[in-house]
Amino acid sequence: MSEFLQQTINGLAWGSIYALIALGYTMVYGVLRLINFAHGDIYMIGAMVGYYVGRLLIQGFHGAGVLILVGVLAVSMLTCALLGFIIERTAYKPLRNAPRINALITAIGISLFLEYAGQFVFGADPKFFPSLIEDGVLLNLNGVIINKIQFIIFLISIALMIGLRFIVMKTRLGKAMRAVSFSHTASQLVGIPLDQIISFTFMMGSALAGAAGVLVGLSNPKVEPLMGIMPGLKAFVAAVLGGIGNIPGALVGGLLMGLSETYVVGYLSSTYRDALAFVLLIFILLIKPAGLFGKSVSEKV
Amino acid sequence: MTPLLLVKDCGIQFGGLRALNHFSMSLAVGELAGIIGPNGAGKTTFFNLLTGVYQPTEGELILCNDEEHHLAGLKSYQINRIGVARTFQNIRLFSDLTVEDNVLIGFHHRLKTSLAGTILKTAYSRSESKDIVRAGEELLHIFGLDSVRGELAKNLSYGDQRRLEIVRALATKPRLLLLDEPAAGMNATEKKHLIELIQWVHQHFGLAILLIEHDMSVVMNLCPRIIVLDYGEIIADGTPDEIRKNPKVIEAYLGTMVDS
Amino acid sequence: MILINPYILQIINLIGINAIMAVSLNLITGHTGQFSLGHAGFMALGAYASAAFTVYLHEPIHQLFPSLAPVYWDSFFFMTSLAFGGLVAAFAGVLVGVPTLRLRGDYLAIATLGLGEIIRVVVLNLDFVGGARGFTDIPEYSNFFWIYGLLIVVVICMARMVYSLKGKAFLAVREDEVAAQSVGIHTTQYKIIAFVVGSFWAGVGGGLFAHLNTYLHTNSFGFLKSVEFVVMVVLGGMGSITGALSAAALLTILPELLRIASEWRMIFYALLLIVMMIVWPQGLFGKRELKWRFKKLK
Repeated sequence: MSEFLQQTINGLAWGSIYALIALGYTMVYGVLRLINFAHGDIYMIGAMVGYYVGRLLIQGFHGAGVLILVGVLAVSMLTCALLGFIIERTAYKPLRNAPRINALITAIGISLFLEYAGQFVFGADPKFFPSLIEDGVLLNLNGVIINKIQFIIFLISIALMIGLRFIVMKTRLGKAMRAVSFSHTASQLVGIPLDQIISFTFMMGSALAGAAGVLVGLSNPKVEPLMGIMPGLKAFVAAVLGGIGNIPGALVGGLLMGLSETYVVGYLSSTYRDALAFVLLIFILLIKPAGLFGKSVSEKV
Repeated sequence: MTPLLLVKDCGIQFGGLRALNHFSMSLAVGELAGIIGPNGAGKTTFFNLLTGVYQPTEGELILCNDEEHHLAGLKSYQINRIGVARTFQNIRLFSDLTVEDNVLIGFHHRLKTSLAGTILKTAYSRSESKDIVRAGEELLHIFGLDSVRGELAKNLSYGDQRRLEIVRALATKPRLLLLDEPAAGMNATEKKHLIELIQWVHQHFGLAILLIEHDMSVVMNLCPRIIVLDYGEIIADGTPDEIRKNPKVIEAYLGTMVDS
Repeated sequence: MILINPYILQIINLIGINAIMAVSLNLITGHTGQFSLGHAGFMALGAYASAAFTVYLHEPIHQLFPSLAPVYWDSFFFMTSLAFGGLVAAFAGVLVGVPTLRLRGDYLAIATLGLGEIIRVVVLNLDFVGGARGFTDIPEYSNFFWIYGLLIVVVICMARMVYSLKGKAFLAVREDEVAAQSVGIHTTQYKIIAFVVGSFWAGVGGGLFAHLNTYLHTNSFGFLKSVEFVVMVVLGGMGSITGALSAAALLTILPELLRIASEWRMIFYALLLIVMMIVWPQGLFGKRELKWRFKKLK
C-alpha cells in the first residue's frame, strides 16, 4: 500500500508538471483553435534559461536558496512569456485566417527551429541544472516519502494554477479570454481588443511552460535542447484527455497523465513509458475526441 | 397520387432546445413551395434534416420516387443519390476549382466507371467521360455560364456564384431541389433574374422545389404555396393570399409583411 | 553502359525515391486535403516488409520456381517483394485510415503522427528485422531503371486518378466536404482510397529504399522524416504533382550542394516551413501542373 502511495506522490509531482504545460496548450487552442506544436520547446527554453540564470545567481550571491529559486522562476517565466509573444506575433498572427493546415505546418516549423537552433546555441550536450534548493526528505509518513523538491513543485504549481484561475474567472482580462475562445467576431463586436487578448493568452501559457521547465530542472537536473519533445507531447495528450480548450480539464488531464505514466513504469515496465502517451492519444481520439470535459464542436451548415 | 415528400410528425432536439416540433407536411411531385419564418424558426434545420446533416429525434421523412425511401438514418451523400439536392445559406462552392469542374463534380455519382477503370483508361471510361463532359457543357450553356467555364469559382460575381451552386445541384439530377436563401445579398435586378431562373428551372426540369427565403417579394411572386414556420412549428400553409391574411403569421412577423 | 560517378548516381536514385514519397503524400495531403504526419511510418513498413520478404523468402520461393532463368527470376522476385511491401503499407493505411479519417484536420495530423511513431517503435522491437541494431545485408536490387520506371508508373497512376472525372471527387473532398457530400460523394470512402493508395506507393518507395541502401534502421523513419516529406509537398505546392516532383529533387540536391551538416539542414527546413507558410503558402506550383505533361496523360 505504501508502495502505491509513493508511486501516487511521484505521479502527482510529474502530473503537476504536465498540467502546467497542458494549460498552455489548452489556453492557446481555446483562443486560436491552434495546436501550438512549439509549446513543448518553450518549456525547454524555460529550463535552459533557468540553467544559465541559476548558475549566474548562485555565483553572484554565493549560495542557493528559496530567493534564488524565485528569481530564476521569475526570469524564466518572463523570458518564455516574451518568446511566446514574439512567436505569436511573427508567425501565428499572419496566419489567423489561413487554412488550418498552414498554421499547423508553421507551428511544426517553429518547434523544429527552437530545437535545432537550441542545439546550435546551447550545444547539444546535456547540461546539469544547478542545485537551487537542497533536496531532502520533507515528510515521511510510514515509509511514504515526500521530498522537499516535490513539495516545492506541488506548492508552486498549485500557486500558479490558483493564480491562473483567479485571472480567468475573476478579472476582466479573464472574461475577455473566455469571450475570445467562444467567438472572435462576437468578442470584437463588444469591443474586446482581439490581438491583445490573444497575445496575452499566449504569454500566460508560455510563462506556465517556463515555470514547468524550471521545476523539472530542480527534480531532473539533466537539461538539453531536445528535452521538450516528449513532455510536450505528453502534456498535449493530457490536454486532449481533459478536453482541449478546457482549463480544469488540462489540470485533470495532466495529473492523470503523470499518474498513469508512473504506475505503468512502476508496475509494468519502463520501456512502455513513452509509448503510453501515443496509445492514450489514439485511444482518446478514436473514442471521445472531445476529451473528458470538452464538448464536440460541429460545423455549422 | 403519392406525394414526393412526406414528413410525418418530425422533431429534432439539440440538448434542451426543440428546433423542430410535430413537423408534418407533404410535397407533391413537381410542386414549388416557399418556406418562410422569423430567424431561428427552424427553416435551415429542416433542410439539414432532409439532407442528412442532422438526424431527427422522432418522426419520419419519406421520399418516394421510384420506391419509398426513409431518409432518417441515411447519410448526406446517400440522400443526394436518392434524388435530393440543395444549395446552402452561405454559398459552398468548390472555390479553387473551375466553374466547369464544379458542375462536372455534380455529375459524379452518375459515373459508372470504377476507379480502376479510370487508372487503366479503359475505352468505357473514356467514352463515359466524353458524354459527361458534353452534358456538363450543355448545362453550362443553358445557364449562361459557358463563357466563364475556365474561371475559378471564387472569382465569379456573387450572383454568378449563386447561379453556379444551383447548376451544380441540378447536375445531380434531383427530384427535389432545396434552395436556402438564394436571393440573400442580391439587388432588385438580380432578384428578378433569380425569380425567372427558378421558374424556368421548375418548368424545364419538372422538379419539386422547396425554397427558404426572407425576401417577401421573391416568395410571394414565385411560390404558389407558402409554408410558415415559427419556433420550430408550422403555423400556416397555403397560398400567398391566405398567408398574407393569416393573423398568426402577421403576429409572428410583427408587421414585417410587405405587400409585393 | 555509361559510367556515371557513383556518388551522383546515388543522389539521382535518392531523388527518384523521394519523388515517389512526395507524389504519394501529395495525393493524401495535397489533392484530398487530409493532413498526414506519419508518411514515413508507411515507408518504414514497406521497407521492412519488402526487405524481410527478399531476405527470408528468397530460398523458399526459389525452390518453387527452379526453372526460371536467373534474369527473369530476379526481376520477378524483386517486383513481388516491392508489391508485398506496398501491400503491407496499404493494409496499414486501411487500419489507420478507417478510424482516423473522421477526425478534423489538426486531430488527424496528431493521430497520424502518433501512429507513425507507434509503427516505428513496434518495428524497433521486432528482432527478426534487426531490432535496435538494424536490418543488414539486404540485397541491392534497386537501380536507376527500377526507381525511375516505378516513378513513371506512380505519376501516371496519380495523374489519371486525380485529373479524371471520377478523381475530381478527391479535390471536392479537399475543397468542401459538406458540399461534396451534398452532391453525392461518399467523402470518407475517397479519403480512405487516397490514404490507401498513398500508403501503397509509400511502401513501394520504402522497398526501393531498402534495396538501395542495403541497410535499414528505424531512426531514418521517424517524425522528422515525415516532416521532410511534408516540406516537399508544401514547397512544391499542395495538389501539384509537378510541384511534388520538383520539390523532391530540389530538397534532395540542396543539402548535398551546400554540404550542410545535418543540424543546419533542420534549421533551414524549419525556417523554410515558417517563411513559406506566411509569405508563399501556395509553393512552387500552387495547385497547377505543367500543362503539356498532363494533357498527354489525361
